[in-house]
Amino acid sequence: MLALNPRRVEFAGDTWGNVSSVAISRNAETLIAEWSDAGPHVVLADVPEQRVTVEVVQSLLGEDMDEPKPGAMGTLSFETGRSSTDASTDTVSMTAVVERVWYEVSVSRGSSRRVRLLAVSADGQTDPVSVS
Amino acid sequence: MTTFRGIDFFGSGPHRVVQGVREQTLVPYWVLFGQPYDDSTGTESQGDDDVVVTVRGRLVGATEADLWDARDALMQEVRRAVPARRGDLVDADGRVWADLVLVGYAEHAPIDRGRVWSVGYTATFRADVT
Repeated sequence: MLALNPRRVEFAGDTWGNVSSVAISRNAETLIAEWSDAGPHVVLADVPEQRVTVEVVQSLLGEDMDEPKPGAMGTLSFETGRSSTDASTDTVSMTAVVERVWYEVSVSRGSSRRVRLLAVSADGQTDPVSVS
Repeated sequence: MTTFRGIDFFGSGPHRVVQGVREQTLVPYWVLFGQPYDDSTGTESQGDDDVVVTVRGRLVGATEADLWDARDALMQEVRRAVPARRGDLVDADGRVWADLVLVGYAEHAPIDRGRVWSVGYTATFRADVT
């Protein structure tokens, strides 16, 4: 899932401004691949463990002295819409833990803060990302 | 389809049949005749080791109950009295290992809960079990 220029991005009660993108990636942490005696090809594949990670990119207009800390946990939410005037918006939210915070500084592109978070399910079965 | 005593224990998921080591038991002469001495080198064959065949695979169920049914069937087979549970193991190609007994069932890791419920296992069969 990719949201460009999402509106009202909040994490743990704090508002994150000038967010240019929120990318939600899903990866197989464990991949089951099984073969049989019948031939060379996989006959069973499944993903019993997966990892949902979120990367938030913010444009920075100046210094950033109050960055989120790895291990911090809270609700990450943002609104998406086709345009800034689009009345129909979706709200995406999840419980997440900050995994990494880093910066990119470029003369041509300016400065940005990137925050990677790991989404956490309430019970291990429910998808940690909800869209309403 | 791989069967044991005509029963499809493994058909819920993929599995492979592995022929175990076939060898003879060799005993050094000095073990048979006492303390080692200069001309005690060599060994004596005590005959063939028992046939060991394993089935390695993954039991699969659409639900937790389905998976438990497949696991229970194998675990109950291990606990049955020996004369009643001796039988032929027939693999998917029709190869027959006669008069085996299922002597062990071990799961490789916790149950995996993905799109389906599954668990990896090894089932061990031996011949000449009384």
